[in-house]
Amino acid sequence: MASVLLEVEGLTRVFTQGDRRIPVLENVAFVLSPGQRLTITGRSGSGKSTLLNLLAGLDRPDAGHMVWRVAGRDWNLAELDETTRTAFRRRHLGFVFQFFNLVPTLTALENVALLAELNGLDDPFGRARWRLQRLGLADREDAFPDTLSGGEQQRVAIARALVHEPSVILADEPTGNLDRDTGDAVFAQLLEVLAEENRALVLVTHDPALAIGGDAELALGRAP
Amino acid sequence: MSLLLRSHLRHLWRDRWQTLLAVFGIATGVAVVLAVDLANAASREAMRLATQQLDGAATHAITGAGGRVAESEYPGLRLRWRQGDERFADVRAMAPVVTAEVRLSRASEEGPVWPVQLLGVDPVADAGMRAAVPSPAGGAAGRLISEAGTVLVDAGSLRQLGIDPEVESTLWVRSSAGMRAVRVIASFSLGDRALGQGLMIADIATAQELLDRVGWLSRIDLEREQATPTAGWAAFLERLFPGLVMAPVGSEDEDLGGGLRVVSLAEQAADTRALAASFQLNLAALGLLALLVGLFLVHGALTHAVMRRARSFGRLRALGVQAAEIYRMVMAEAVVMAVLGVLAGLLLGRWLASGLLLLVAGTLENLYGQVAAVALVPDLLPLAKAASVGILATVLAALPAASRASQVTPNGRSMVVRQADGPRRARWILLLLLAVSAALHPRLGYAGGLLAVGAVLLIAAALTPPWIRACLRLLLHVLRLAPLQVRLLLRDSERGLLRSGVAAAALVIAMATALGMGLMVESFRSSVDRWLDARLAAPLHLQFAGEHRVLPESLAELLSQSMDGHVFRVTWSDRVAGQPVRVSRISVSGELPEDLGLAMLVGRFAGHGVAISEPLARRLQLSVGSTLTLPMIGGERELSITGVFREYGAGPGLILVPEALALPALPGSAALELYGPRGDLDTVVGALAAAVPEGTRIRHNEALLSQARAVFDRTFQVTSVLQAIAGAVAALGLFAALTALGLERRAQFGVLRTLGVGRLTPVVQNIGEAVLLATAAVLLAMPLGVAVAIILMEVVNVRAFGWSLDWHFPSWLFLQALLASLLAGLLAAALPAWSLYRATPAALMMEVRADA
Ligand SMILES: Nc1ncnc2c1ncn2[C@@H]1O[C@H](COP(=O)(O)OP(=O)(O)O)[C@@H](O)[C@H]1O
Ligand SMILES: [Mg+2]
Repeated sequence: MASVLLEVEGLTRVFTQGDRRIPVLENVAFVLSPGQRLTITGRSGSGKSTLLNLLAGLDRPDAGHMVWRVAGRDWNLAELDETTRTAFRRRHLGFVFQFFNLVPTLTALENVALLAELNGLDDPFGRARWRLQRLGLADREDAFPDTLSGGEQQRVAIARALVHEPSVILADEPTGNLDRDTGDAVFAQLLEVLAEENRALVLVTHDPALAIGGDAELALGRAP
Repeated sequence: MSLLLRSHLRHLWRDRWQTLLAVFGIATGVAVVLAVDLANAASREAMRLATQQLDGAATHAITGAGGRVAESEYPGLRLRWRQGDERFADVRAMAPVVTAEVRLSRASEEGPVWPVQLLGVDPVADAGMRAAVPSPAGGAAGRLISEAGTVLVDAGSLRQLGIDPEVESTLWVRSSAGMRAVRVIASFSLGDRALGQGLMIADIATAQELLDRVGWLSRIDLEREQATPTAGWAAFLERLFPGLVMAPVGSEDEDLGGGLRVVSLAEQAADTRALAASFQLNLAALGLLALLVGLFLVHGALTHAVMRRARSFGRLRALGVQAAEIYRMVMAEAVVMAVLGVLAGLLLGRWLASGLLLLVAGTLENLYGQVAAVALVPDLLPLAKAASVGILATVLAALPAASRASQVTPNGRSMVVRQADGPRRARWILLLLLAVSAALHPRLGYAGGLLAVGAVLLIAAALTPPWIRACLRLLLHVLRLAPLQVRLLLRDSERGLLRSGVAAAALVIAMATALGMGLMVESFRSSVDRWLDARLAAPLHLQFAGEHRVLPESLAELLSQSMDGHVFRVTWSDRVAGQPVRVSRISVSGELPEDLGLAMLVGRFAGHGVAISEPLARRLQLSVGSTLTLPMIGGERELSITGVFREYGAGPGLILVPEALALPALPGSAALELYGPRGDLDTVVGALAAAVPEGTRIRHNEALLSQARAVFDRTFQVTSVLQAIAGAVAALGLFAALTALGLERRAQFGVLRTLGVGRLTPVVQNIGEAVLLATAAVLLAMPLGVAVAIILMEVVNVRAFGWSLDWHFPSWLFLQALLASLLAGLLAAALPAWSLYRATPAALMMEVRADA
């Protein structure tokens, strides 16, 4: 069996709203290897984003654990403290969001360089420039997000997710806010880069078309 | 309930903290306006009552030849007053007085002796004139009248003599008439004003017997209506803006016939009255400025409330709601907020007013030793004024927000806020600059000066957003190599100006006001200090009773033995170019400070001409080198002016004439300033007390000096309290703006935290933004504060009181403004920063979705 990047076991998350308990995730378990692509599908409200939040250490599970094996170390996000989880996210994870979520007051280049700078990498702007070039955005470096099209914004977001060379990209409905053609093009570009650089992808989508071709698929149960 | 209204109310509820802050902004503005009016009216009344305690309510006195009035004249004068003789038309009270300086001792032989002023009064006629005099209804007054040889003595004097003030005792009174025993039936408190001299109160008959002056009065005190405007517009304005309208001060001796004259007692109370007038003027001005700050708060809050709802307005428009309906909705909301704010403000204002009154009362207590009867004067007008001002201001502040809301297009996006409306702003500033120069026109008087201050502060407000933007851009340029997070902070701050700009403007106004007022008060204080120093340079001051021409022979010898030098002045009232003035003939002897220690503005006090006070010089447009014509015995005399000196006492102008030029002198009230006592001051006082004519008042100037300073400081404490309130209101506005910004940026911080930014980053960003705003605001406030101070000092004070102030710009005031501003910023940022610190990234990300 190949080496393991992420091991999830017995993951459970229950929200309480007033005195009502809403069990969103129950006993989720799976394993992800380096360079693999995992697709999480399910209807709206089935807990896809909740699971992704847990995997990123943005939220804590009520039971179970998720352990990342990165940089020769086990990161059990269920137990690490906030500071360590933040440091882990910053260094080893890359994010692509449905709504792009670029920082509106930073230029495209600066948005990308931010993560390299945060990680204390040398020449953050050089790295950012190279990433943007690879995604065909060399001439939009100095544009602010509000002057970019949706597809361009998402490609800047992808550059930002990759600039610090993370082991895995977490993407929540990355094409959900783009039209079909643009979405497909951007997604193809993402897959291409990931394959070249052997990075893993955890993809959340309710679009069956995007699920095709992944190494594994996790279908979350019906919405409560 | 219509669904439109329901959705609207839910919005208000969702934004309830912001709504509450806006209501609070209105409330504070209304409260400060009301409190200032109430405090002003009450302090004016209290000052009147307080001066009564010191000198009695008497504003004038009837005196006769030889400094006395035959007692037989009194019934006739009283009858004339009662029957409405027009000479007494404005007289409120008339009370006979027998007074003299006497000394008290425990035993008839050796032992400690203590000087007191004996005051013989008619408790019935005196009712309400002097606080120390017991009310005629009480038992003490009854015993004073019915039992011969009974007196009241102030507790401090009794303690000096080693007597328990709580029990009855017998004392010996020594006067020029010999030694008599009196029964002390009660004591009273004089507080600080004792000034080394006590007070003994007796019935007229007892006093006459003690002094061997049966059949004679020292004078008859009159209380005249204060010269306040009583009719027409002036009266209405005075009630509407207490303290803003000043009555002209005039005082002139009047001849009553039969050797009797009415003389003004204004000189004695002049210092405090002038101070009070300037204090009230400043307070009134401050009240209006506080309203300006409140107005900006309301404007900011409403604009924000509307901007937050842009999307919702857009959806409503898409569903077919008319622009006019949206406009009405926002205006209705403003009116509801105004009504709530005004109600709260009226309550808050009354509460604040009683707090301010405690400070005023403290001043008076300090001054007069008794808790002055300070009470709010019940009047509906200030309430109505504050309420209408509050509602009007709110509606005005809401107009731009409402029109902005009604311009939202159905997609909710067109509310592009005109951020780059440079030309419009420039036009406004130009207009305001024109307003400033128009307001400064001499014909508009001091009111023009106040208007100019208001316009300067509006300029400050208009300049604030572009100024802060320029500061941030400059920083951004300087720090272009700094880490991205620093640039993020600067860019976010600039973007946030849309929200925070109005709040920052309010902060600039508050800081510029505080700084301007502070500089003015400090300059005022140092000028008054120097003036008092000069005026009270002599350690002892003697005020003779009655009228004199020359220094009594008996004293001259004693003085040359016991003092290094003295100034003898005889002062009378006169008119120059139609203006009432006081003329003092100055006789100098021995070693004296240069220019008699006067705080000279220009020139000198030299033997060959006269020196005049600054207010008179300004009023008559006289200066060194010009001449004035003064009526003297033997015809009019043309005198050249050799100097102009500072004078911060109220009353008519003062002219000092050297002895040589004023002969032969007119009789007038006489005073002696004594310099350089040879030997122990108390011994000198003892020797003087035995030698001076009856009725002479001996004053220790040192005690008076420190007291005057204490009064000044306490009086202007009220100003600082109001400044602090204006500052706090501005801080609150900033808090509201930063909270709103914090809420808006939660989504962005959610993303950043997801990407791995530490939880301290949002805190640093929030606080950093507040610090940047506060610093930029205070940097702008500094020059504008100086401009405000210049107008207050060079225009308002000069035009209102005729006096100029020495510039005194202590650096600590600027430092204090900086610190206060930073503190305001930090306080304002603390809560939003804390809430960001506590939020988990997942919770913040939830709002990314909610936002979408
Ligand atoms: N913080 C929370 N508190 C309460 N309920 C939540 C919270 N976060 C998510 N939920 C609920 O959990 C369910 C799953 O949400 P989510 O993971 O966002 O679904 P998906 O991404 O699959 O559409 C939804 O019903 C949502 O309302
Ligand atoms: Mg989701």
